[in-house]
This record gives sequence, structure tokens and C-alpha cells, in this order.
Amino acid sequence: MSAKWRRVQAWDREHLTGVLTPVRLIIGALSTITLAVVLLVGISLYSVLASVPIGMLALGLTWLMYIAVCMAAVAVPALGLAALGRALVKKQAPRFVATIAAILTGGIAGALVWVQWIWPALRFDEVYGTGFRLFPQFVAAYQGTTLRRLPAFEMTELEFYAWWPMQAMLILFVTNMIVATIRRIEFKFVNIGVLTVHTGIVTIAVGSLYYQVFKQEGDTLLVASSTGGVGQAQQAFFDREDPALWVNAGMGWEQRPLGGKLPRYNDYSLLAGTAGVIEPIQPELEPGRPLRIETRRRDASIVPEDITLSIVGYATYAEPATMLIEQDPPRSDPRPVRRVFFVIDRFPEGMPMPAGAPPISPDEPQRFAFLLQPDRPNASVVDLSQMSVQSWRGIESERWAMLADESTLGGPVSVTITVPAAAASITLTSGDLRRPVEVADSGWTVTLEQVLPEPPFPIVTEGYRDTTSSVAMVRVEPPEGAGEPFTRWVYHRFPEISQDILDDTLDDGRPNRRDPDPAIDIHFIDQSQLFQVYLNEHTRSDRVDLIVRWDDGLIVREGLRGGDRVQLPYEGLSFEVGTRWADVIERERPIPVPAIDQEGDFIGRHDRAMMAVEVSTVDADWSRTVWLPFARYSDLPDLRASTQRRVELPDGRWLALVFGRVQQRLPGFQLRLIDFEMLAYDHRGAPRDYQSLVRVEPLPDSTRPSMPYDHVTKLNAPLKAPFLWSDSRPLVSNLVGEILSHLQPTQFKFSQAGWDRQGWEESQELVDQGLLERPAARFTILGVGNNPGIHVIALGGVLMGVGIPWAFYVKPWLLRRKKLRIQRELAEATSNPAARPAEPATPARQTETIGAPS
Amino acid sequence: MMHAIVRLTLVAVLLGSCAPAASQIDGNAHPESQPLTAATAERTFPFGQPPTRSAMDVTDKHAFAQAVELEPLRDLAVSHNGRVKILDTLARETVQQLTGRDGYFDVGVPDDEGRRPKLHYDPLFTLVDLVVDTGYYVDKPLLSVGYLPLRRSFLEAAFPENPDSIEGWMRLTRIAPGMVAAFGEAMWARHEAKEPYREALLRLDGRMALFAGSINNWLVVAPDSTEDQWHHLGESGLHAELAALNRSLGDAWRAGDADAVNSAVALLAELLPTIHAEQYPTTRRSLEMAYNRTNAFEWGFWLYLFSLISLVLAFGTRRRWVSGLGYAFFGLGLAMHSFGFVVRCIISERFAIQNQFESMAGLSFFGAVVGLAAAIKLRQPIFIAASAGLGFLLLMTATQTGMPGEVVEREAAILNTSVLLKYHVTTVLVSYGLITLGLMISLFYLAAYYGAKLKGSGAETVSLAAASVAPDAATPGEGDAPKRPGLARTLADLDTAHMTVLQLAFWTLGVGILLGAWWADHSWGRWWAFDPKETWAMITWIVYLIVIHLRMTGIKNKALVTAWLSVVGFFIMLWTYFGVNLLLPGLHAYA
Repeated sequence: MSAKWRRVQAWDREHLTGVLTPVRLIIGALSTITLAVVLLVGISLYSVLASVPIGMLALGLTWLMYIAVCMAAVAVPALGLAALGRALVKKQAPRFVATIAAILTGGIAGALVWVQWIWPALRFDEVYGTGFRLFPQFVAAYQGTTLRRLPAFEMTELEFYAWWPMQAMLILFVTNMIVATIRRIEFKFVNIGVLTVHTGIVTIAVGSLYYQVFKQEGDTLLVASSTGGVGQAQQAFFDREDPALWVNAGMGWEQRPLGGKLPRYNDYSLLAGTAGVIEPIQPELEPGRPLRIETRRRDASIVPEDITLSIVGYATYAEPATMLIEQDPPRSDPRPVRRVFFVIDRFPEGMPMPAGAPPISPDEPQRFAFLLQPDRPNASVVDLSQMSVQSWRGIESERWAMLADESTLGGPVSVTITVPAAAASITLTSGDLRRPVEVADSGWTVTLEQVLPEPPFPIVTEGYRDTTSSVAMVRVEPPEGAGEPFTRWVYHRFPEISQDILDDTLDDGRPNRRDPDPAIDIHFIDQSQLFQVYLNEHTRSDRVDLIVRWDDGLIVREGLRGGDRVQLPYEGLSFEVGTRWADVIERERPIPVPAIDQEGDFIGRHDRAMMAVEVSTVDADWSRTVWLPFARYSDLPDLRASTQRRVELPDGRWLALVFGRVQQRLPGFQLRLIDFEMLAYDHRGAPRDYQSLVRVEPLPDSTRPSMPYDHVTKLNAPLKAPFLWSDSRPLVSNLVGEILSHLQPTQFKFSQAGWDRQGWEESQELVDQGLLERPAARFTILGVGNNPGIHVIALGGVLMGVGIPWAFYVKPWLLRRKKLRIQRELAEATSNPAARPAEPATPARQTETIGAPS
Repeated sequence: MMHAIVRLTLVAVLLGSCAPAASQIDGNAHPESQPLTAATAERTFPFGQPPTRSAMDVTDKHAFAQAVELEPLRDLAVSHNGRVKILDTLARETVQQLTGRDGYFDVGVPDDEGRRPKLHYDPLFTLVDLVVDTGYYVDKPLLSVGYLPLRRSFLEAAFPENPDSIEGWMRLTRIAPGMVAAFGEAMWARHEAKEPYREALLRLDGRMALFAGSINNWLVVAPDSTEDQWHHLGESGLHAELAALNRSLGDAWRAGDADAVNSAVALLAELLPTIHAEQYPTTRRSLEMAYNRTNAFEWGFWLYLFSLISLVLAFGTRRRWVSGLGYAFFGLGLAMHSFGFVVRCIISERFAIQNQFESMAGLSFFGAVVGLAAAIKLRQPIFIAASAGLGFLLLMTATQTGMPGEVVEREAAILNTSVLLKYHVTTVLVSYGLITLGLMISLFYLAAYYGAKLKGSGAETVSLAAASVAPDAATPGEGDAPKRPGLARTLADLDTAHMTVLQLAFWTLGVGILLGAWWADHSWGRWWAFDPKETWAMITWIVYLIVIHLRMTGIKNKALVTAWLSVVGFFIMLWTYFGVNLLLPGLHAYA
């Protein structure tokens, strides 16, 4: 206890009495080191809660028990043997050696026992649940979930640390330190160390406050020029964390910041916007908690006043999926959908079970439901490998008749060729492969060259993308004078897109294609599966015709309606016609990605999130909910186009919406990418650095004498703007500018943060082929941040760094020197009483704790 | 002109599909480890297409392995995983990756007494054999499966009604590539949803890919410039003489003709360094060879252990020759440690403290050096014993527990380009070393305190501690505490030594954190982001801040509380050092 502290306490007891007693108590508490220790422990515990998943904290108890058992396993034999050794050996030195040897032997033996038997028995197996673990379910559920991620918090790390409990502890700690310093520590030269350290901490606290108020950070993407010159100007950057809803009502884009209101880590209202959905949402899907965030309309908003936008759902990590919503009344150009079922009472022997199919019980027939959209080729087919269903609406009668024709049965392939002019027709089968056959006496010769399960190239015909079909390639040789030979590609599922491939090629080497020659009709039926079902929806009613084909038989039923069932040629298997919807529309909805498949880097960053926005009008009783995927750089036209969703209002107006981030303007300047380079280790090893050559220039409507200038920014060499030290300015001007730039919130640093790996690698391949001179990137990403008050914080750091060694090493040295001097003087005084010092040093000062900072 | 058009077209096409960009800072993580070099069409099998079935059985193979002389190949250069290394290193890494062990071994045919001998192989032999006689390994225990339930699943599928075989293979800890080929898909289908299985299957897939494609790693022909990649041994049209030599080596190998193999190996080892000799490394190959052969870090921890034991015995028995032995062991250990550390810095072409393994080797090195300096300055041998304990613990952990980073790889780009960061990392590691040193001294203190307490007067334990602090009674520590008899003096001196170390640790950790903040501000644009590593470094620092301030409060037995807090601080530092890196995501991905 210092003399000053005793004086201060005495003064307090004397003057702070009566009504001032609470003041004395508070000041007294704020002067204690105990409070500082308590606060430091509190700050540490808060930080633990912020950074360690709660499941892991719970797991810590189990690990403590593991460690306790391990220590016991090692210590018991070690100490037991040691006791035995000590009992047997009496002489001191040998006994010590025996004790150490016994401890080592016993410890190693205990460790082996632990490894061989105890640990295998204790170790918890997550799959089988064997072994020992406290709260296994809690641990499994929250192994990666920190407290701040729970629905009650939904905070980022920075938000959690900026929350009031932490702020309160920090303020109290700094106050405690200031009060204790003033009231307990003598303001003497010898104590300059501890005073410097404490001043440093206060300086850091003050600097951090300023820093936190004005700090901005995010990133910006600079696009390279498409002509090899300077890239397009970038005048803004996106905030690092804060999401925004971007809205365009036809007059340009407007952002509505969502701040800390939008969740990050949990799902909310996953079923938003699914009213009227005709397919069942996964029954196991947890819809999550309700959510409703009203977006705030600014005064200068360019979005009409009567339109309100609310966030009504959030999926933290999801894949977009399409759902079908019934449209009632149907539109003028409806899109019908039919549900059909395969019903299995008993699974036929030898037929493979569909993947994921549940076991079949005779008492509970399994029904596998499928949706068919006859007007959408890519949604009109259900293919289950051994069986398939295809649906049309108003099929060509000729095609239907051919499917219903028993003469086309009898093998895996049936190709019917007709020459209308000669009324000649033949049917080829797989036995006719590569054998030229004349079509009756028509003069046309055909050869079934090959039948492929899938076309050699993807189908690119508009409306048929993402579809596939088996294809028969038939070589056709017309009679003399009727044209050149060609090969017809006939698709089993989509005969309407059949094409003739001529023998010559186009100038660019591509095959010369044309529409099928009408002089010869070719129909291909692939019946390689166990059976096929064909449906033809009636155009004027909800009835449907049906054909079931198998290798040696077929069933034809007409005018079926919902609920009708047709027995398939395998016992225990039937086909049921289900409900038909006259018109549906497609909407997006999120499908949550299982935790096991989520990438940790994207959690809590919105990158894989979807947000549901409800658009409603004040006047009309109307609303629509639309799910939006996230766009990290919503200023990129292509990315914005692919992630924006358009909502049509009943009165003909429309809105385009994007889920992005808050965008901030750069203060008075803009950036352009001139060049980017990835610097690799020798022999094209791993990346060694990344560098972007960037031009900083004033905005078109502003002038800055120091601009434009070009600067290379690298991983550890950021670009600074608008102020940059320049040799062309006087030193004083540079110094003043440098100091001010670190206080002003408008000074920014741009750090290399991302690059276009894919573009670089692709262009590197072209370089290797000699087609390009050097690899190129399409863009670079720069981290953006201002650093207001960083020099104040740095000053605090320097004070701490300097003050600690003073307190630990210089102060004790000064005290020792002083003590020796006093001892010398005392010794001299003893031998020469005339030289005795006037006031001997007090013992308290002499033995002041060495190394203690006070 | 044509190039310009192509370039414009390319850029226009690329811009048309400008992709969403990366979300994390690029260059902030270590370059992705690529144990297997990507295959290209131009590469063929340099040693000839390996047959699907080997002509050799287990006995023949082992005899052949004994007969061939592969030393000339050992220090040939190979470009692999982002750096040029020697074949010996590639062989060690490949075998370690495949088998989870330092070397491949098989079990031979039973002898007269029914015992099956273990047949060990040089990793370099295995590396060559894997590409020349691949078929031999299809049914051999090659691929390590650490997750027991998965290993058992494979073996139960492979030996459905043969529990003896299952148990025999279970003990080998490895399974055969043929089992993975036969049952791998079924295992994925059955276990994919279970995290431990999934991780184990992913690792197994990596091993299987390395087994099947290790030939792709043979980039042993130097290019003519640093801009170009190294050439593959089987690259067509590269070097006619080389191709013929490779072929003859492969044919002789498969025929089991050891003499022909040896002469082909010698010729190959002569020829390769002459191709683009100006690009072919020389001194670094020798250094890497020396690094591999010495196993300096392993020898280091053994020597530190002997030193620790000797010094503890010396303190207890007061035999000077035993303490001399302890100092000698310590000196040798430190020499080996220094050699390993310096050579690793040279072959990795950087200050080698940038992954878990290196930082442990570096941390223990700094701790040992500081401990030695403190022992000399303060004349307290306790620091030598503590340094030996620190060196033993950390080097053993680094070398014996599969610590990530033992393989020398390229560093993260963000580390490569900052001098400031090297000071930050070094300072923090020094502080960690001091914290560990502090733990050692606190353990001595606790042993002395509780040993004495258990015994009442505390005869040997006290003398141990007393001797450890001041074996020469005439040489007290610099604590300047009044001379006290027996236990009290011992504990006081230990406390002084302890505080000396902790104060230094507190300061260096604080400075290290501030240097890190400076660098983070410079490079990441934010001096403090509450990244888990930052948070836990702060918590560690707070523990020692509490230690220092608690000593100014009125608590009883401050030294004992300090000792216990030192133990707590050490474990918190351990968590900051390992747990945070391995278990908590953050910006310090490289740490």
C-alpha cells in the first residue's frame, strides 16, 4: 500500500462523511485493484462467450473429466511407486534417485494403461454414441454455434463486442484505472513507467472511441478494361457487414439499409410466400421463427409512396429451388400441371428400388408422386431408369397413333419410316442396325446407323434446354435426282426437334443442319426400359388419355380423370392419375443446405442466404412475397441481372429487387484498375503476392491538385487516398497531410483482398498455347477502410510498450541504486557519526515490490 | 494482330460472365497443399505401363528391395507442391501420406514357428515401386485408415466371414487399395451423412488418388527458365536418352534384375542434373539431405529429456558430474535444435515459424535460448532445467503427434510480404516460450511447496528446490530478498525467478500483440477485429496482467497464487496457440 493511498484514504474518511458517504464508497471501490481484477475477469469471460461455440464450452466439462482421469491414471501409480521407493531406500541421494525413477516408471506405466484401455473406453464416438460425454445432444447441436449466433442475439463478432455489457465493463475498467492511478500512485519520476502504461491504455481507449464512431470498411470490385486499357471508374464501395435491400421502380436503384436488424445465422419463416403451393414442402422442414422487418423509406425515395417493402423471411444458408403456385383464375395462356403416382403394393421381383424408397409393406402401399407439365419439355418427363412417363397436351395424332400401334412393339428400338408420296412404310428394329434397307419400292434407302441413349451434344433448341432423350441416327439416301444423302437425328421424346445433318460442313467447321425433309417421315420409339407411360392431356377438359407400353404389350385408356388407376403389367405396381391444375406459376423458395454440407467461410456473411421480401400496396388489398438470393457486388450489371427479381403490381407497375450490401460513396475521388498481376514463386509455384495497378482520380465534378496518380497496391502495401505522400510536395506539407490524414475519416486505405483466379488461370492456358502474351484477370477486389484516430491508438500502444519495461526493469534498478546509496550513507554514518543523514529512508520504500508497476 | 483480336475476344467473353468474387482475403491462408500434381495429357508412364499384377511375391519384393541401390536418386531434385525439393523428401511425404507412417512395411510369410516377420521398406524404394510395379500394392496394406469404425467396415466387407483376417488387418491400421476400389462407393453411400465417416472417407479418397496418380509427381527435369514449370519425367519428346534410360530402369525393376536397376539408377542420377544445369539446385539439395538424415528435432527432444532428467537428479543428489552431464545434454540438444531450425529456414527460403510445426520448433528454440541467457545472467540453473523441459515437451509434441506443417511448404502470401509480421510472430512466439518456461518454474515451485507441505518439514523436495535455485549457496539470485533459511528461501528464490520470466512474457506478449495490431491495420485495414486469435491473445495477456496486479492486493501467499495462475495462463496460451487455430474460424488461418 503506497503512502499516497494511505493519505488519500485518511482524507476520504475525514471529509467524505454524512451525505457524502456514498461518494466515498464509490470512489473507494473505483480505487481498488480488486475491481480491476474482477472487471478483467469479466472481460475475459465475455470474450470467451463471444468466440467459443457453446457446444464446445459444454464439451470442455467432458474434457476436464478426461484430463482428471488421465492425471489420476498417471499420478496414482507414479506416487504409489514413489512411496514404495522411499520406504525401501533410506540414504538421501539414492532415495531421491529412486523416487524420481519410481515416478517416471509409474507415470509411464499409468500412461500406457490410459492409452491402451482407459482412453478407448472413455472416448466418445459420435456415430454410435459409445464412450463418455456430458450433454452429447447439446454438444452436437451447438458445436459450431457461439452465443452471439443464437436467435436471441444474431450478432457479428464486432456487434457483440460493441454491445452494452462489454462497453460498460470497458468504461468501468478505464474509469477504475484512472481513479486508482490518481489516488494510489505517487506522481514521481520513479513511477513514470506505470503512469505511462496507464496513460497508454487511456489513450488507446480514447482513440478507439473516435475510431469506432467514424470507422467505415468494406470492399470494392474494380473491373478490368475489355480493351486492355484503363478499367471503368469505381466511385463507391460496399460495406463489410451491413446488408441492404436494393429497389428499382423504374427510375433507378435505391438502397434501403437493413442494419443490424436482418438475421445472419438462423432461419426465419422459410415458408413465407408458399401459400398456394401445389407440391408438398419437405415435411421435415423446420420453418423457423417468424420475422417481419419493415424497410424504412427515406424522404427522397424514388419508390412510390404507396408501396411498402417488408422482410418476412430469411434462410441463412440455402439453395434456391422452384415451386409451383396455383394460379386461380387461370391466365389466358395457362400452364397446366398434372400430378401422377406410381403405386406399389408389392415390389416386383428383380426390379430395382428407386433410390431412397422406403420399405414396402403389403398393408401400406407406397405412393411416389410426380408433377408433369406437358407444355414444358424439361418438366414433361419423369425418368426412373427402368420406367418413364412423358406427358403432352394435344399431342400430334400421328405420334399418338404410332405409340398406340402394337406393330411397333417387339424390341428395344422401333424406327418407323414412311415416304408419304409413295405411301411406303417400314419399321426397323435393333436387328437392322447398319443395314441399308429400301423403303418398300419408294426408291429411298435408309440405314439405321446407331441409337444413342443421349445425344452427343446437349440439346440447345430453345425451350428444350436441360432436356435429354435417346436419339436414332438414320442415314437417308434419296432416289436419284431427289436430293443429296443426309443423316437424320430422330429424338424419341421430342420428335418435333429432329434434324437432318448434311454431309458438308459450314465454313467454321460446324455441321450443316436443316429442318427435316418432309419427303420422308421417321419416328423413333425407344422401348429399352421395362415400360413407358405416355399421357395426353385434353385441351378442353381435365381428362387425360394414357398409353402404357412394354416389350410385348400395351394398354390404351382414354378419358381418365383424377383418381383413376391403371394396373401396370407387373403385379403389385399401378399408375394413378392425380389432380390437374389448370394453371400454375413458378416461384423461388429456399431449400436449407444441411449443416454438414455448409462451407464455414460463408456462414453469417449472407453469401449463401436468401431473403423473403413482401411487396404490398397501401391502397389495394394486395401483396406478393419474393425470395431474393444475395449479391455481394450488386453494382456489377451481370450479377445484378442474375440476382434481381421482378415483381409485377396489379396496376401494371413493377419493382426490381436485389438483396445486396449497403454501398458508400468514395469521398471525392474514383478508382480505375489499370493492371493486375499474380506474382508466383519460381516455376509457377504458389502465389507469392497479388498486385493491382490502380489509378486514383478526382470525380468528374471535383478537382484535386494531387490527382490523378497511379499506385500499385499489394497484400502488404495498401494504396492510400486521397492523401498520398508525394516527393513533389514540401516535407512539411507531407508531414501535416500525413498527420491529418490519420485523423480524418475521409482518408481511406485500399488493400488487396481478392482476385479473379478463374480468369487468370484460363488466360494462362491461352498464354501457354501462344494465343495471349500474358495472363489477365477480369477484376480485382480491394478492401476499403478509413482509419480515423489510428495515430492516437498507436501512441497509446507505444506508451504501453515503453512503460512496461520501465516499471519492470528501470524502476527496480533505480530503487536498488537508491537503496545501495542509503546503505552506503548509513555505513558511513555508522563509522563517522558526523556524516549521519538527516532522515533515514523508511523501510516501506526500501522494500517496495520489485517489478510491481506501482 | 491475331493475338490482339484473340485477347479482345477473350476479355470480352470473360467480362460477359464476370463471376461473383471471393469472399475471404486471398493470400491470407497457406497455399492449398497439393500432394498430387495435376495430370496432363502429354505425360506418359516413364518407366513403362505398370502391369495390373506384379510378378513378385512378398518375399521376392523384399529381397529385391534389399538388393537395389537407390542412394544416387535420393538427392535428385523434384518440383512438388509448390517448391523444388529432393526425391528423398518426396518419398517420405508420399509414404507418410499413404500409410500414416514414416515407412511402409508389410508382413512376410510365416516362419517355422508361425511368426510373420515385419518387412520394412525404404520410402524411396516404395516411391519408385509405386509407379513401376503399381499392381503389387493392390492387395497390400497400404492406405492408412485412422478412423476405426471405417477401417472395420471395409474389412468386414472384404472378409465377410473371416474374423481372423479382419483382426489381423485391423492391427495393421491400413487397408488395401483394392478394397477401396471394390467397396469405396458402397461406404460413401452408407456413411456419407455421418461427419466422422465422411472426413475419414475424404482422407481415404485423397490417399487413393495419390496411390493411383503418384506418377504425376515425377517432375524431375529442370526447365530452362524460372518462369517455366519443371518437366515430367515421362513428358513426350523431352530427351531421347532419358526416355530410353527410364524404360530400361522400369523393365529391369519389374524383372527383379537388381544389377541392371542399379546401373540405370546411377546413369539417371548423372544425367538429370545435367539437363538445364543452370536451373538445377545444388547446395540446397545437400542441405535438405542433411536435414532429412539428421532428424535434428527428434534428436533434440531426446537430448532435452536426458538433460532434464540429469538436472533433476543433480538437484536432488547434489552430484556435480550429474549436473555437468545435464548441461552437456542441454548444449547438445540446443545445438541440434539450432541446426534443424536454421537448415529449415534455408531450405524453405523463409524464416521458418509460419505454421504449427515450425512455430513450435521456433517457440521452443526461442524459449531455450532465453532460458540459457537467463541462467547465465542470473546464475540460476533452474532456467536450464526449465528450458530443457520446455524443449522436450514442445519438440516431442511437434514431431510425434502429426502436427500440421511438418512438411516444408510455401508460406501464405500475406506472410511472405511483410517484415513487420515476422517481428510480430517472433515476438509472440518468444512470449509463448517464456510462458512455457514460466510454467516449468511454477511446476518446480508447486512441487517444492506441496512436497514440503505433504512432508511437514519438506526435506528432499525442499532441498531439490533450494539446490535448483542456488546450488552454490554463495550465489543467490538477484531477488535481493532478505536471506531466509530452508523452504522459505527456496520458495522466495523460485518466486523471483518465476516473476522474472512472467514479466518478460507479459511485456513481449503485449508488444507482440501491438505489433500484430499495427500490421493488421496496415494490411487488413483494421487494427483490432476481435478475430478469435486476437481475442484469445488478449485473454492470455489479461491473465498475466491479473497476476501482476493481484500481487499488489492483500491476498495471502501471493507466490502460490502466481504459480497456479501461471499454470492457468499456460493452458490458456495453449488454447490460443492450438485450439483457436484448429477449432475456431478466423483471419489467422495461417497461424
